[in-house]
This record gives sequence, structure tokens and C-alpha cells, in this order.
Amino acid sequence: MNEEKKAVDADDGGERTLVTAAARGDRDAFDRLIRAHMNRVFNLCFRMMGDSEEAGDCAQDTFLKAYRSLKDFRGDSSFSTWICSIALNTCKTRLQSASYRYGRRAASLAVTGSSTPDAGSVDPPDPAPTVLEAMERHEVEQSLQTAIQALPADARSVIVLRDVEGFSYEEISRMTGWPIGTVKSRIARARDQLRTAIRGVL
Amino acid sequence: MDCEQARKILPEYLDGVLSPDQRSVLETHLGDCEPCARELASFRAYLQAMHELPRMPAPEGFVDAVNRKLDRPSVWRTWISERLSPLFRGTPLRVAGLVTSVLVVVLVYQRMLPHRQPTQVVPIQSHQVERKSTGEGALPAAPPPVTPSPAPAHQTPSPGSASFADKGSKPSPETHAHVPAESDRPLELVVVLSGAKGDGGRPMTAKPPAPTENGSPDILARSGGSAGTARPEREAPASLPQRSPSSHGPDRETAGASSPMISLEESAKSASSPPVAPQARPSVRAERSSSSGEALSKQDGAPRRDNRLSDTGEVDSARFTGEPRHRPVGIDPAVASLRTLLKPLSGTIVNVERTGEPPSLATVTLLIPARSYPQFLRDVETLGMIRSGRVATLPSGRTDPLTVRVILVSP
Repeated sequence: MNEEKKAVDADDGGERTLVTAAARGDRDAFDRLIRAHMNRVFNLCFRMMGDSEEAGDCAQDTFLKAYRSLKDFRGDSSFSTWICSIALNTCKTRLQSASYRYGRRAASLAVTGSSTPDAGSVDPPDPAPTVLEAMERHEVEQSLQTAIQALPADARSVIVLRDVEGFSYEEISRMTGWPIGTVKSRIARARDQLRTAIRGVL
Repeated sequence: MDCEQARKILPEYLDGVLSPDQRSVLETHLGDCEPCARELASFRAYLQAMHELPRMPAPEGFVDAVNRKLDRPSVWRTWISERLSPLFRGTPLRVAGLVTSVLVVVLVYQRMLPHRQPTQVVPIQSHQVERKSTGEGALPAAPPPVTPSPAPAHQTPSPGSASFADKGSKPSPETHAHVPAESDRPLELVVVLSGAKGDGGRPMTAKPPAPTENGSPDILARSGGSAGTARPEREAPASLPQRSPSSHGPDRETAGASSPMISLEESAKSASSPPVAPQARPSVRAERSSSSGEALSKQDGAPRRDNRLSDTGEVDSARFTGEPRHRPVGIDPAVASLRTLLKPLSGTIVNVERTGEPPSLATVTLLIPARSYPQFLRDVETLGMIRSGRVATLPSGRTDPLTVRVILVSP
């Protein structure tokens, strides 16, 4: 569970006020909502898409959809959960689009046989104290991200929500619309696949 | 607790949601089972790695980018404003959209409607189609009117008339011709049937026309003498094509044209009156030769065999055996005779309507190529004298086909 989510949830009262103001057309209030959730939304999109450019587009589209749907936000869940569910659906829609598939296939053909890392990926900040640790961590991260990208979209979404973003099973069930049992079983299968994929580097 | 149960609850153990009893049992098992302990370590390492994945921050300028997208009009609004705003400048967008929607609906509706023809479609005979296929008598757009006439342009068959639809043939799209609309009034010729003069004053018959039993002119008198007598062959105009009498199909009427037939009024009478015994019937002056060459011409009052083809092309034997005659519905012998008579005329017969009001006998509507009009006049003169309506020179703007109504009257 990351600190960002806790901070946002702790200020739920103020957030509702911002949401109400933004729903009335207050762009400043919506800007504050964007700043409060953009990193989390972008990170979720990056883990789903595996590409910073695609993640940026999906994150922007997520806030556009959220702004146009603010009047439909009933407050049954937190704004964070709500906007992450929008981000999740945006990414899944993008993953299923023909243009994305075509672009991914062309990109994979272009880098075939090349040992250079994906040009679209963003190197995460590296706080490792030594070069060796940094190389090992980078290898694990690359392996994990590659393994996540290899998952089907549904399994990818639940594993990102659970193991990356730290949402509870109930929240994931609410966001995806699947029963908790289904969520748990899908998470278990996805974990097995990921652990199998990264067994050599862990 | 066995290994399977232990590995099943490992995620919940790591999530910290197990009850204290389950937790203690699992920890006891993990202390005794090396494989399950390694599984727990692997699972923990996986979760640690996932949690340690770096948080990817949103790029700089993300808020501005979102705001730019929010301020940017949608694709549809952009398209509408670019394409339609010049048309509706100063008009509210909703009004412009409404007007555009109405225009689209109207255009789509017009597309869906069947194409309106400026002319009426009536079925024609197959030989007309043959003419069209050979280029002769092609039927382009309706010509402009030449001679004002109160007569309607289109001919709707009345109960007393017969048209080609009476043949019983189902009209197909290929067998349709366009009759000019009302705005294109047809030429109208009034022809006094005399039969005295033919083309260029040549005698058309060996004998002058003789009145029939009821006093009406015999339009076929030029074809032969009185009843029961052998008649010479009708002298066909030199310009008319000679057709074989034994031909069938569309040329069946042609064969009839070259052979004597009952008179118009005779046929009209038989058509309008109940069936009568052959003895009481007016004489039939001649019968056409059948395909077997049998030709009978008798007026002895006894029932006799007549191989005359009926209007439908069948041998009408019941007529001469005293049996009740059952004529096909809608077939008028008088009209059939007229068709046969008018067959040599240039052009295509569209409609034959028997008026039944003396002195007018019938009205025939024909379509003829404009270039054939002079020849048509000569052909008409083989029937009788053109009393009125003759136009010597057609206006230059007249185009094919000409619609001509020939009103046949008794002198």
C-alpha cells in the first residue's frame, strides 16, 4: 500500500468538495484533483501499457472522461477508486484497439534482434547505492514489466491493481465488476504466471 | 495441515488477513516443511519486487496537456464548424444542426423513393422490343407537343377497349414503353374509312367498298368481294413489308392482315351480343388459310368449321359448332380485327379503343418514329381518307417517338 493512496484517502472530505466544485465547472478545482491523482493514474497506465507515451495518452484521456462524467460521480467509492477504474477501462480499451495492436506489432518487428531497451520506456529513478545492485534491480524490473505485459488484459489489470497499486479485493471487485472469488482466482493465476516468469532473476 | 492447504492460504497469510488460529497452524507447518517454506520465501520475494517497482511519475506539463484537451473542441464540433459554419454563419449551432438534419433526411428520402417517371408505363408487344433492340423506333424522351389537342396523352384501357395487356402476357421491364405524358399531346388524325383509295390514289381493292348487312361500311371491303365469294388478295402498299401468312407469334396478326377478316362492326356486334347460332350469324366472307392450307369460305347456313385463329391464337371451333362460345375475358374480336388491319401501319400500336358511338368507330393510339411519319401517312391512306389532323411537316423540335391517335370514323 503506497503512501500516495493513503494521503489521498486521508483527505477524502476535501476531495469531495473539489469534486463538487469541479462538477459545477470549476476548472481550478479540477486542476487540483488532477495534481492529486495524476501520478497514480499515470503509473497505473504505465504498468498496464508498458510504454510512457501510451501511458501519457491514456492518463490524459482518463481525466478528460472523468471531467465529463463528474456529474455521474455519486460518491459511493473514493474519487481515487473511481478515477482508477476509469483509467483501467481506458487502458483496456486502448489495448484492444486495432491501431494499438498494429503499432505494437510494428514496434516489435522494428526492435527484433536489437539488444537496446524499448525506446518508449522510461527509466525509473535509480536510488541503488551500487552499480551491481542497480543492474540487478533493473533486471528484475524489466523482467517483471515484461511478464506483466505478457499477461492477458484482465489478468494484467487485477495484478496491477492488487500488487502494484495495493487496492483491496473488495475495491478491485467494485472497480472491475467481478465477484471477489473471481478476482482472487484471477490474481492467484496471474501471480503464478509472474512468479514463473521471474523465477530466474529473483 | 498438508502442503496443498498451506500453499492455498499463503497469499492471505502475507496479506495478514488470516485468523490467529490459522496463522499459528500455518506457521507450524512452514517450520516443519522445507518446500512450503521455500514457496513462502519465493512468494514474499515476488511481492517485494512488485511493491518495489518504481512509481512512474506523470510527465511534466501533464496538467496543461489535460487542460488543452479539455479546451479543445471535439472532433465532431471541429468538423461541423469547419464544414458547415460558412453555411450557417450567425446562426445558432442548434438551429444549424436542425436544418442540416432536415436536409439529410430529405435527401435520403428522395434517394429511397422510386425514381419518378415523367411518362406512364404501359406494356407493349414483343415485336416492339425487337424494334428497340435493332435501333428502329427507339423510345427516347417524350417529344414536345405539336398539335394542340384536348385528347389525353395517356391511354387507359376502358372496359370496352383492349390493349396489349389483354394478351394476358405479364409485362416485364423489358416490354414497357413510355407513353408521353399529358403535356405531350399526340397528333390526332381522323380517318374516314372508305377503302376506295389507297396509296397514291391506287385502288386498294378489286371492288369498291360495299356496305355490310347492317349498313355500316366494311373496312375490309377492299380486301375482297361480298360474302361467300372468292376475293382477290389485298394489294398491300409497296412500301409495306410482305409477311408470310403462315408465320406465328408476333406475326400472327400480320398473317391476318393479308387475309380477309370479319368486319369491324360485325365483330363488335358479336362481342357485345350474346352467343348466337351460326345460322343466324352474319356471313363470314372469308377465312384465312390455316397452317395446313385448309381454307373454307361458306355461307350455307350450316354449322361449319372455321380455322380462324381466335384472338389468343387458338382455333375457335366452338363458334361454328353451335356450342356456347366462351371468349376469353377482355378479348374483343373487333379490336383484334382492327389490330390485324392496322398491323401494316408504320409504328407500334399502343392501344385500340372501340368507341361504339357512330360515326366514330374506334380510336387507335400508335407510337411511330418521327422519321417514319410521312410513310405512316401513306399507310393510313390505305385505310381511307384522312379528314383532319394531317400535319404535312413536323416541327423541327419533334423527337421520337410520336404519339398518334387515329380516329376511325364511318363516312
